[in-house]
Amino acid sequence: MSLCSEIRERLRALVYRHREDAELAEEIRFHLEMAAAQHVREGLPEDEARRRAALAFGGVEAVREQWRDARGVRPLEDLVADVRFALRTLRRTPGFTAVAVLTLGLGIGANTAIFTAFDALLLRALPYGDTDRLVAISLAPQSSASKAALVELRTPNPALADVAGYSKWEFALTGRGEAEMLVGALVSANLFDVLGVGARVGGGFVPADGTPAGGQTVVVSDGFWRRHFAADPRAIGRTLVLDGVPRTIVGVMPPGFAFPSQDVALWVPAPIDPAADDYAAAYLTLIGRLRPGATGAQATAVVGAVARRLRAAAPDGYPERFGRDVMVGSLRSALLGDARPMLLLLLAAVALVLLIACANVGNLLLARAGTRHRELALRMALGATRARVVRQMLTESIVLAVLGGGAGLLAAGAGARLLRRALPAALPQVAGIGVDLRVLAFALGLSLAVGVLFGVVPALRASSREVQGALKEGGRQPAVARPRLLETVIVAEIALALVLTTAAGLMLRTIWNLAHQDPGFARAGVLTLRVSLPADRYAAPARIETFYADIIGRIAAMPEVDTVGAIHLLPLGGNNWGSKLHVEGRPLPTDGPAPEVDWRVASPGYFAALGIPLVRGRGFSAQDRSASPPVALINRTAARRYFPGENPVGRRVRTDFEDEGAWATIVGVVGDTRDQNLREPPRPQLYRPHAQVPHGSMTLVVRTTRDPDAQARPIRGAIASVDANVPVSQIQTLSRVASDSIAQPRLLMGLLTAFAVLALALGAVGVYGVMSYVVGQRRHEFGIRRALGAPTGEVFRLVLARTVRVSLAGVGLGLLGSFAIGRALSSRVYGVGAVDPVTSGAVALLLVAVALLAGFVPAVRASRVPPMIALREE
Amino acid sequence: MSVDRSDLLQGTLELLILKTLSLQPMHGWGIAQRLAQMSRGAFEVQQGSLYPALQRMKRRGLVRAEWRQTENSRRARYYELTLAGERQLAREQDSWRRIATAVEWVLDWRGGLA
Repeated sequence: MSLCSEIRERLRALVYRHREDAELAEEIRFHLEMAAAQHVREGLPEDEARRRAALAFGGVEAVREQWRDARGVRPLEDLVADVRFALRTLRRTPGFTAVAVLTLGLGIGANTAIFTAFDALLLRALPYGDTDRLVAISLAPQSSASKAALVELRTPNPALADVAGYSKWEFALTGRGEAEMLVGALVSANLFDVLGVGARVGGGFVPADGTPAGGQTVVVSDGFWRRHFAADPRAIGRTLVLDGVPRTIVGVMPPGFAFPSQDVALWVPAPIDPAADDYAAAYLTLIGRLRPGATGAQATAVVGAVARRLRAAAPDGYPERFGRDVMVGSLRSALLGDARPMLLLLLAAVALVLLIACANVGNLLLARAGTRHRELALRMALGATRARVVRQMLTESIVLAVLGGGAGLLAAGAGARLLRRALPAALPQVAGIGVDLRVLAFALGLSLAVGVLFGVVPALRASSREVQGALKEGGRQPAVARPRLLETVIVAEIALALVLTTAAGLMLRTIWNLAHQDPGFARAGVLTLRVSLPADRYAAPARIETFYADIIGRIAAMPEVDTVGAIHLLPLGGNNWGSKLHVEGRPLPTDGPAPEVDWRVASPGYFAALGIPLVRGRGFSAQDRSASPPVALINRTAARRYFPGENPVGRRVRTDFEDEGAWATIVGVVGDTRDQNLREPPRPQLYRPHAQVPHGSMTLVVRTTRDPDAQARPIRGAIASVDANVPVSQIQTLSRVASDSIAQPRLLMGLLTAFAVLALALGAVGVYGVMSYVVGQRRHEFGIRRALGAPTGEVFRLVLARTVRVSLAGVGLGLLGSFAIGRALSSRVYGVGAVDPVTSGAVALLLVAVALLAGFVPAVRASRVPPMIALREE
Repeated sequence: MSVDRSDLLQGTLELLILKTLSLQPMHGWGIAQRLAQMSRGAFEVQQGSLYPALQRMKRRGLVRAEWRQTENSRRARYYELTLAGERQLAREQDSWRRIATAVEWVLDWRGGLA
């Protein structure tokens, strides 16, 4: 039959199901009557005739089943019937159903929760146009690019259609009530063109905005527009005063748009002026759009050529290898950074948990199938084919899995909410993490797959010929679930639980090590506040200096304050200003990298406030003013690395952050701090006094005698008493800053630990259940042994020996797996080796103990039953 | 002689049905009767299995079915060979004869080359 008529037939069969059943019944009735009539004609009495006819015909039910099979519409009717039957069966054993649904719910729920994050961050399309061709461009590892580089890259080339640059920036918004700090970005005027997204309201930037003569404009986000202008379209044309500069709002981006992260509320065009000071300053991150048909490799070649051109034009401005390590890569990876490997790791972990859950439920089903063998055998004797029985049992497991999945969705919803709060808000798309249609589809698909996975083996085993044969012999309950099969599953469960727990243990120890890592400064009892002076009222360096001297003086005078200082970049704050270090009398090396330092501006009180020791020479003092000779402090690492074996005090140095002639004399060496993150060793640092380099935005660090949080208001009051219109932001204790810096590994650790505990619990339950079952199956055998005179102790020994063998096999496999996991995680762990005997050992012992207990209790029970009863058991 | 039911393969049953129907359209009972008659009692198929077989053949387009009145004015479903069914019958007859002949040769083998 052709496909069309086939489909038509199936539909007809579905629709006319009852009629066709009735017709078949009539047909069979006719046949039987005719046959009976024949026998009557041959001389048989009526009931004998009917009996003969029925005998010759065969089983009517079987015929009907086969007829329906041949009809070919069984699938759908059978499915409905199977589902109803499955539900009835499950209702009859509520205990089993509850345990199975709970187990599956946990497994599927955890997977779905992680999938929501995976989908939102890694799978869903970024809210930009034609994202396949968007790339992140890096001229050198871990470093930013300058406007000069941007201009060079925009010259027409065969690979890149256009290139844009951006840099996140905090803007002070004034003139609208209380001064507010907003996260925004300085961008090249063509950024939105490169991203392929236009403003939803207003026209956005024009190319002229990127020139020095261009208008002072700003584009705002949808969220900002709703918050500050109540979504009024007349916001276009209004003015915002940012960092003292009035800017006209020219566009509002569509809802759901975020670049480079969720928290950016406005975009300000950065004028590109070859004559300006910052033309060669490297602080931009670059993105680009590939031309149609161009590849990443071609773009990399182009970017490399541009980099080498830049260096050739200004050899002193770039390190020697510049241009050889350029990278053009996926924009998504660049924006996500660390999050992708972390998510993959979590996904692997939950998959393991799900496997353990499946193994548990599969074992439960196997054990249960043993008690249903009579029912199954009966059905097959009545004419159901093996395929039919298997299908029905699979339906049962799928129904179970879908029920579990439904329960899991509730857990997933809560989990997604948790993830949304816990993941750094800066990641793009974090707000989009939630249960939506795609996640539902994933949950459903997973449930179906899981149902088949753990259901197929019990279904096949229960309906197998040898089991059915056993029924015919009328023997006792056959071993549907072969002990070896169950034990193999247990071995796997133990191994998986061990692997997962080891991973969690590694992360736990990593966090512990990181948290206790000495950062080089005292964390406790210090409050930090960011003060950003508006550029319009505080243009002159002298005014800035006076302001800070003033507020520092007032705060120092407060009774609860011990010491106070200021630093322009807080340690562990995530920011860095790095530069080459020029030492007077020492030319830059022509081979190899030039010396680099992290550059900081600090007030004299900073070091005392943070407890950073002075190692040599003197610190900053009141005598270092703008008119005095320029001075600098370096840290121990810088001294050791760049002045090995000599006294750095008295040498003159400078960086690229100040003019060519601005040599500063080193007056002292201070202790090291772990500035960028707790994991890396300290980097070389150079400090200049605030009085000589008055930055408008500084972070105050205040060491208090008592609770730092309580001093926040009085300190703000002290600042306000000098100038009430200066925005003060990011008020937090230093310990909070430090713990935030390890927030992501901590999240990872928390989740992994939760999953590991889950895996352990599930594994323990599974081990217990299976061991009990297996030992229970052997009651008959134990009864025989006892009857033959074996002492009770021997039964124990047998059970224990078997249990120990199984557990050790699992532990052995698990240790191998743990080793592999340790290697895989080695980049994320800190202070622990790939092999962690402490954690692995503890978990292994726990699991072996559970297995022993599991086998023990039933063995005790089995040995208590009088041998005769055990023997009589069928 | 009687042939054990399990020896009767599904395909053979269909061939027999095709042949039976090639003589005239009949209902299921009629086919069973005719089969027993034509095989001189050897084939007393489990009569019920006729119906699933007929259904399969109907799906493959070899027969078509229709409710009609019997001579006794009863309602019965009559099956009739289609054109495709006739062609299939011819093909299967051919193939069966060839197999049967080959089996004969093997069974009569007395040694030496033919």
